[in-house]
Amino acid sequence: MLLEPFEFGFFVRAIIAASLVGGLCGLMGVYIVLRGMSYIGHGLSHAVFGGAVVSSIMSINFFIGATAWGFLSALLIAWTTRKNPIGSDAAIGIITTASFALGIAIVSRSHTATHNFEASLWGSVLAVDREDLIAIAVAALVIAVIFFVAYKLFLFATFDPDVAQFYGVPTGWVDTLFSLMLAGTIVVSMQVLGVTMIAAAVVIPPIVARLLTNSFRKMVMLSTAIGIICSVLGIYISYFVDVSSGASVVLLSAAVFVAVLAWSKIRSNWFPEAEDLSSLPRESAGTFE
Amino acid sequence: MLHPPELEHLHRPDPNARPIVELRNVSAGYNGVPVLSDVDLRIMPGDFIGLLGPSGSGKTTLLRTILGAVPTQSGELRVHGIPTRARRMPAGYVPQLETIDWNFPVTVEEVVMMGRTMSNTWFPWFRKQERELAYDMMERLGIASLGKRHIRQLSGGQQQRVFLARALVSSPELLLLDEPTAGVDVKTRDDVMHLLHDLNHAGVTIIQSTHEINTVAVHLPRIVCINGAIVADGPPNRVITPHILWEVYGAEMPVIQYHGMPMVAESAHFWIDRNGGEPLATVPDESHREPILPHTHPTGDNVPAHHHHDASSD
Repeated sequence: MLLEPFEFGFFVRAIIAASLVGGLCGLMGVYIVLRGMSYIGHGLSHAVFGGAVVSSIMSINFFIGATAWGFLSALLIAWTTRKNPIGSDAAIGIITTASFALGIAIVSRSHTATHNFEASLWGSVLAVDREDLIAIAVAALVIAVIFFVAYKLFLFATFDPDVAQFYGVPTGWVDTLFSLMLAGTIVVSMQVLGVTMIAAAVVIPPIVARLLTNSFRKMVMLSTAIGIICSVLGIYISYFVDVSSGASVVLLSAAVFVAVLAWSKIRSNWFPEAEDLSSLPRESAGTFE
Repeated sequence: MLHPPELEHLHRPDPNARPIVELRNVSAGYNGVPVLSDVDLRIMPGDFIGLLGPSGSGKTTLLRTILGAVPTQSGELRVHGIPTRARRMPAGYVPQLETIDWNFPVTVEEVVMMGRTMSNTWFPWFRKQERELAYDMMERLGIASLGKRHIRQLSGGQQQRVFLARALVSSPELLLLDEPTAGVDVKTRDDVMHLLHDLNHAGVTIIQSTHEINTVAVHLPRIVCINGAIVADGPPNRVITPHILWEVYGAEMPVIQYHGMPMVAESAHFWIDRNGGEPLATVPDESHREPILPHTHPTGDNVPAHHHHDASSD
C-alpha cells in the first residue's frame, strides 16, 4: 500500500528528480543564505521565466536559453550592486521583475506560446520526463563537483570577500562562477518545484542546518541532506493527499523549520549551558514585490 | 604569552636587506578619485610601524595599496625591489574585528585554515600537514584548545588571535593589521600589543593602523602619520609633537613626557586649567612653527623595538 506509488514509472522519475533538486537547492542555499542573497532564488526564478518564454518563441533549447538568461540576470544584479549605491534586494527586485514582466508580456501578446508555462509557475514534478531528469542530474553533478574542488575558495569568498581577495582568492571569478551555478540550479529546479516555490527550497534547508550547527562543513552536509529528505518526503506525501508537489515540499520544509526552531529555543531556555546555536545567519535581503 | 624562540621558523630579518615594500610617489584611490597622493614609504625588514591618521585619512587605503589591491594612479609600487602592477604581495592581513560577520557558521579551526586557501589550490581539502601547521600556530597563540568553538564564543583577545593565526599560518614576511586594538578593553589591548611585539622580535615585519596615539607611542619604534599624504615618518619622539599632530588631525593635542615617552593628554583645557592658566604642555602656535619633518625615516637601522616589556614576554 505505502509502496504503491513506486509501481509507476513517472513517480520513480519524480522521486529521483526531487531528491536531486532538493539536494542541489540545499547545497546552493548555504552559499546563497550566507551571502545575504536569500531572495535571489525567488527573483531569479521569475527572471528565468522570461528567459524560458523567449527561448520558446525563438525555438532555442529551454535549458540552454533559460540558463543563459538567468546567468545574465545574475551578472546584471551583481554589476548593479557593485557599481552603484543600490542594495542587492532592490537590484534583484528591479531586474528580475522586469524580466518576468517581459515573459508575461510576450505570452499575452502571442497566443500561440502558452504551452505548459503554468507548469513552470506551480511546479509539476510528475510531468518530469527523461530529458528533464538528465538535465537535472548533469547540473547537480557539475555543481557538486565544483563545490567539492573549490570548497576552500568558496568558503573564504563567502565568509569575507574583501579579505579573501588580499589572500589571493580570485573573488571575481568565484562570483561569476557562482552566478552561473545559481542560474543552472534555478532552471533545473523550476520544472519540479515551480517558480513560486524555489525560494523556500533554497532558504529553508540552510537555515535549519544553521540552527543545528556552528561549523561550515557540517552546515553544507546537513543542508544538502535536509533538502533531499524534505523534497523526497514532500513528493511522496503529495501523492497521497493530492496537492501540488511544490506546495507539498515547501509546507513540509516549513514544518521542519518550525520544529527545529522550537527545539533550539527550548534547548537554550532549559539548558542554557549548552552551546549557543540560536542565532540566525545575517539578515536576508528585506523586501521584494 | 609567546616564547620568541618558538617562532624562529619565521623569517629572520636581514638588517642590510632592501625594503620589503617600497612606494615611490604613489597616488592611489577608487574610481579615479585619489585617496592618497605622492606617498613615499619604505617598509624595511623588521620594521614595526604604526599608521596614524584621522578617519578617512587613507589608512586602510594605504594598507590595501601595499597589498596591491588598490590600483595605483601614478608612482610605483616595488616589492623586493621589483616593480609590480596590481600584483599581490604575499602578506598576512588582519581585518578590523568589527567587519567580521560573527554569525557566520565557522569554527576557529576553519577560520585559521583559510589562511592556507591559496597554498594548494588544486587539492580540494586541507591536508594533514596543513592542519598540523594551523594547530601549531594556534598553539603558539594560545588558542589551540578552542579549535572546535564557534568564533563568537570567544573573548575579544582570543578573537584577535584567531585572525592573527589565519594571517600567520602561511609564514608571511609582512603582517598588516587594520586597527587591531579598536573597541577592545585595556587588558586585551595590552595583550595584543605584547603579542605583536613578540612576533616582531621573531622577525615578522608589522604595519598596523590605529587611532590610539598613546598606544603606538609607547609600543612602536616607528610611526607614520598620514592625512591623504604622508605628513611625518619617524620614531615616536620625533613624530608625536603638537604641531605634527595638529597637521595630521587638525586639533590641538598637548604632548607630555612620561618616562621619556611622548604622550598625548586628553584635553587641552583640562591641563591649562589645572596649571593655573599656564599651559603644562605645548599647544601649537602658528607664529613659531618649525617646519615639519616629512620623511625622517630611521636610517636603515631598523632594529625591532626592544625598549619595552622584555620582562613580561614570558
